[in-house]
Amino acid sequence: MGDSPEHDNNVRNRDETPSLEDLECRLERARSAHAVDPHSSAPQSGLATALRLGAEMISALLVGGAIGWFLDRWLDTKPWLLLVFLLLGAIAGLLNAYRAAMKLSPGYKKCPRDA
Amino acid sequence: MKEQSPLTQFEIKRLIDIQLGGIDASLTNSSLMMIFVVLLATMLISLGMRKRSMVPGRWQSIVELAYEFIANMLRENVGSEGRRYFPFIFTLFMFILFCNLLGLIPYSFTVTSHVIVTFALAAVVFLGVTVIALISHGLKFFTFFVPPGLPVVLAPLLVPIEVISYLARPITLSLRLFANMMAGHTMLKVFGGFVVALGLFGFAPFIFIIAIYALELIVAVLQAYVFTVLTCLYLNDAIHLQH
Repeated sequence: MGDSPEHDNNVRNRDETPSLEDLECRLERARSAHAVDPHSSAPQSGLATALRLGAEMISALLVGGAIGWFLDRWLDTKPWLLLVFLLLGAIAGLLNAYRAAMKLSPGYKKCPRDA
Repeated sequence: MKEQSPLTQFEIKRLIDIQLGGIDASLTNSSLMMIFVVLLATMLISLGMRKRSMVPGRWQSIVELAYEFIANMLRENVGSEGRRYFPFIFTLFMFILFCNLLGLIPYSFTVTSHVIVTFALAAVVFLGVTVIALISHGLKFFTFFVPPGLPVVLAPLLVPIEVISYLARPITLSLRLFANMMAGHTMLKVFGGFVVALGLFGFAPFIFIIAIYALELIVAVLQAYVFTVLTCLYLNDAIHLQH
């Protein structure tokens, strides 16, 4: 092919210090993106994804609320701890949903050279 | 004809009264269904593997497929250390799968549409995984709640968030299975009601029911799979101590 040396140059310019670890990571990511892997490329419908992420968010919120409610009852500080833990639960829920979403998308693996 | 709500299918009926020292241990339609599930799954596996032929027949193929499916899942998600938990994971998968699938037979009962059942399963998984993590890592397990490179100032804020997100796992696990099963079965019953109510024009929702039923078959298998995969992922976290 005529454009292959050019292409090689491009690659070299971009990756000035290619580390073996990074290469391996990228290879694995490329492979897993192509492999017929049931859990990264499962034909998840939009509804299924929405239910999954929704469950992640709601459950953390519930746990936070429950912790706050019981601590309030125990320490007699109504309603402050409930509010604080509801907030923490909401954040934890978002964090869980974020993690789940990252796992759902193909090629979520972070490589050392990723910006 | 008696008016039936789409939710009557989830009613627990007591079949045989059993009281064990103040604890209500009656045989209900739910527990009867679970016994059926366990019997059927055991029968499938033991009868399917009875011949142990080199070239598997139909039943043996089913069993081998299920075995390889779970073995692969465990190897991919946990690695070789996960092998000794295979019996538990396999049992869990078969139980949920059979509960979901048998629940789709008309007039049967869907055990997994009750949140207490799915929560009990998830709680066993959660406690087991936590105990495994504590045994294999000791006190180092608690570093799981401290993200790497965390500034000390932020620790009081982020550690509770991590703890809550960890505690939310069994809730997520149980909620998802329960919500999927219950929503699907309610939808089937609602459309079933339309078929009766519309009389001659009932064929339209009837066709729709067939489509939903097919979808529910997928959901039944998929949710059993999701539950098991998440268990594997949690097991992986416990063994390798990373998010």
